[in-house]
Amino acid sequence: MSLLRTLTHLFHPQRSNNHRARILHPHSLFQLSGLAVIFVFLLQVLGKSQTPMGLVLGYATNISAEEVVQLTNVERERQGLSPLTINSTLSQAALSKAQNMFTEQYWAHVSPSGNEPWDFIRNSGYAYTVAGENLARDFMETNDMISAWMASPTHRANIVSGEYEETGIAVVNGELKGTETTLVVQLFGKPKEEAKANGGLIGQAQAAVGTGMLPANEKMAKATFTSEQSGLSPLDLTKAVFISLLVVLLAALVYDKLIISKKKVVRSVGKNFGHIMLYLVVAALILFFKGGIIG
Amino acid sequence: MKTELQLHFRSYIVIGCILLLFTALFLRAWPNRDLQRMLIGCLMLAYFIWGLVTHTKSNVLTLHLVFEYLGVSLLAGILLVLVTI
Repeated sequence: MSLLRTLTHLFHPQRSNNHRARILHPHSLFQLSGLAVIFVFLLQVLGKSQTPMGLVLGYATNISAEEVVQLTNVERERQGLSPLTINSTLSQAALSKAQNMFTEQYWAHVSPSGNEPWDFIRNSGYAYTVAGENLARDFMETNDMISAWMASPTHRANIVSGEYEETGIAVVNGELKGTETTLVVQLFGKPKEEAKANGGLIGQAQAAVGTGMLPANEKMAKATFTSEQSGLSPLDLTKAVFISLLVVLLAALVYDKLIISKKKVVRSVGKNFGHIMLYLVVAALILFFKGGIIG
Repeated sequence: MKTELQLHFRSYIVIGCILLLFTALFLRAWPNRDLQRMLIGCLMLAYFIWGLVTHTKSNVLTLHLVFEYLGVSLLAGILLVLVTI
């Protein structure tokens, strides 16, 4: 009985809630905002823990290097450029860079210890005249990752640069700053002419964004630092909870409007239609929000 | 319901345009998270101001209403910001 009374108080406009569903009151909205922040904070803490919840939360990616290469070359073809070919030495350099990011726990072109992308390329034995690097993490789909790179001028410049001839890619799963993630490192390069003969190296280099490409006949650098991966990412869970909350609020607003229209109660409250429009837009944006970060 | 829509038709057109513009800019800003968060801040402010202006025109602006629009804007903004983290 008490539960029913509480629910009625929360959702049914009546005298006890001043003829406005309690969940729509400013106090409740502030409390819900605070709860949302606490929820995300707890999710991050639990995601890093070894609790059952922490083990359930993970990051499963559908990114495939072959697809990255294919889509990269599709973008190049659109610009009238020749396709990149995969270079196993560059792929090895990309793998070293990705492993280093997990080892030193950073997300950047330059490591905390000062290693630049070209250092990894140089150490792998690849001699180049021009080189570039594109980074990505937390993407679920290759398409989205390529789209993100193409939407960024600097990353796009790497993908559709006529200077590059070869590429190397690494797709590596691991834990970065307490969060399971998939890092993608794509390196671009133009081999030094003399280096092709004697293995010499380096010249000008530039960092940018992008992903890798990988012909089937070349070995792709793919490694897994941690094997526990699941299909439920923290972002998925956050989206599900937030959309559920918005659906409840939308239902409460519509119900509130219908009841008050029938009762013809005079009250001073906000515009329900305005709130509904806003929440619908927010729900749609959350639903279609794409994860992933490029660097 | 129909009456309220007709009564405040212009106000809803304005907020509809603001929301459409925000949606387009938000999607276009992807994958720039910082820009998306800035846009969310603008949306929160725009919705809050829209609410106050609409009610000021109707001469029914109360402190409770100010808090209600603040709460709605804040909740919408926080939910969006949190998914961009």
